[in-house]
Amino acid sequence: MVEGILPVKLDKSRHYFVLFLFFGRHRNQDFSFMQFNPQTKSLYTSEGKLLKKLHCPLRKEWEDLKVLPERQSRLCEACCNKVVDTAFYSEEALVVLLREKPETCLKIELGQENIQIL
Amino acid sequence: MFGHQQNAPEGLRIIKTARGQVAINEAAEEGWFPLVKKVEPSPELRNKYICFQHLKRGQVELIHDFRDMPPADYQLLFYGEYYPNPQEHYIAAYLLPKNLKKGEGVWLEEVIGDIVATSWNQGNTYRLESAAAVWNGRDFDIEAPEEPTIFIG
Repeated sequence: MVEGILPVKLDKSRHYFVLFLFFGRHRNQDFSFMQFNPQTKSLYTSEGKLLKKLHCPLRKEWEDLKVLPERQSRLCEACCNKVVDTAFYSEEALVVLLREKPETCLKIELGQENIQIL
Repeated sequence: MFGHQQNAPEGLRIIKTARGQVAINEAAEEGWFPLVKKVEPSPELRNKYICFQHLKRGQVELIHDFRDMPPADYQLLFYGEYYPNPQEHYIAAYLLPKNLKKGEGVWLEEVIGDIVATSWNQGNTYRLESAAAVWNGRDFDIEAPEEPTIFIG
């Protein structure tokens, strides 16, 4: 937990100082956060190494994909590929997966816990 | 920028962008007709950050994802916002091919104006870099996508 004080201006003449408390996830703990840039759609390791740049030429949405019994992926029936939900993968597991199958399609959602948004 | 042509849907003509007077005039000499536009920052586009500093070593840590906390022994200095897309040139132009037809769908490789592509409440807003558009005879009607929070690819 981190404490901090931020100035908050509520009207033209007065500032109020608000004490707030950070409750969040620590960097550099036992687990590492992959990094994702929504603008370039690039996924990086916690060390900043590019894992994959996301691009779907068919512009598929997650809701378009066929739900599978396993929660970790869905099926794109257009290209017959599984799309892996990265929320269920650690960085290490994803690195191994992409090394074995670089063409694997990924799903990333802003706000998922294991990813830091750049 | 990397990847733009790869992202263009099949069948759409790619419209290039020239930035600054020199590049625009060079394109005109090559036969393109520049559709010139102002380059003006939008107040909607803002990146947020919190600045922390190590209590003893003085090193600074910036956090853009507000779910994160800094490592131990860092104190909060301040919170701030900045415009993330400063441009060197204040004019830019879409380079129109001579045979562009009204109603034709195109891919704008570099969108000139500031259109928000994605935003989320724990961090930044992200600018639309490329987009599909339709030429209406005088300008491009840009098909701004719904702001995605889920990315596939």
